Amino acid sequence: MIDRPLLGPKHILIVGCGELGATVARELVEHGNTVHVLDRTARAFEGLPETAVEERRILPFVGDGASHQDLIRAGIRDVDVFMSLTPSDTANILSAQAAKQVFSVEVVVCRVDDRDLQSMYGEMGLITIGATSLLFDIAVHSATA
Amino acid sequence: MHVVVVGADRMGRAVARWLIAGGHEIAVVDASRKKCRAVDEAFGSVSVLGSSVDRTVLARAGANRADLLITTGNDDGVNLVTCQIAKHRFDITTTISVVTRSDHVELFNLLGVDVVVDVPDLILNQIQEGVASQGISHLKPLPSDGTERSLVSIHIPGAFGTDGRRLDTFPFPEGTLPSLIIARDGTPMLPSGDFMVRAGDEIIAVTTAEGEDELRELLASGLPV
Repeated sequence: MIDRPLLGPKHILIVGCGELGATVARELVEHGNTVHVLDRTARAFEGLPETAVEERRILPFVGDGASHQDLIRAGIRDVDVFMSLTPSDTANILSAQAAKQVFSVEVVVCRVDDRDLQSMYGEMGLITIGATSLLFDIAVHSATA
Repeated sequence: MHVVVVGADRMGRAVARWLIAGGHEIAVVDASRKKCRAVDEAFGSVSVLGSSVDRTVLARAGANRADLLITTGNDDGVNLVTCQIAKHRFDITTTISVVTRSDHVELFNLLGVDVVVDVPDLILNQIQEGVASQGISHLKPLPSDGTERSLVSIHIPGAFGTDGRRLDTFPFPEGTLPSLIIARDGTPMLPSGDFMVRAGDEIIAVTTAEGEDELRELLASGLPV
């Protein structure tokens, strides 16, 4: 999906530090980027690499991706890339559109698992990634290969 | 017209009741079976069970022929996505949504939701009005000729007592023009100098910004005798 990424060093804000958010954060930091992570619970940050947090290459913030105030606190005004990666499609779509329309972040990536919504927001110009369609493509591809 | 109402909580049901009374055809979408049943009992079979961000659910609610969609839920993400599906997938002309956070008003407007109702702001306004009814409240700003004036309502507090005081001895700040009196029994009358101002009366007046501050102080401290 992302074919010329990780050029670094960029500032990236990720909303949602679950399995996916934490994995993406770790990967991006290894490529020299600075990653801000916003999640509603501090416990979500336990999965982040400690040294990167200590060296402030990962900046965790407790807050709500739906709150503009929390997004500002997490540095949305200073990042080059925004990603909403929580398990809720609607929450991701809300924050991603705020990042794009209100905060004018250059690159906005939004996780949308529902295939129907994914295609609609894709048409509307949002970069959407979705587990369902990825798995669907892989499944169909392997069945027809 | 056909209206899709999303959310069967108190607000959704109130909107539904009002629309039905106005002779409109409605469908109420909610993901809770229990709430859908309550809606059907109150209004006949108008509920559609399911998630409003599911296109097939909106289709079952008649979104194809709807003129208006109103979201009343307490999840702004769901409200936004529902309105966007209504616009982009069903060409519904008008969408109205409540928001639970004031910072979402601008976002919803930018994204094409036609009417955005800011619930926290409405509640705050009501509280402010309740507090202000102890003193002075803003009715409307008046067209400016260089001096900013507005129409205000002055509620005479209990501390002023029931003995009353002639209106022409009331120390109105400069530039303040009493225009209407609503006596505490509700009788409206034009101000005259011999009117006795008592606790509970309301005076509608034109005043300046400074005048407003002086009036507020005056009402808080009580009248100089």
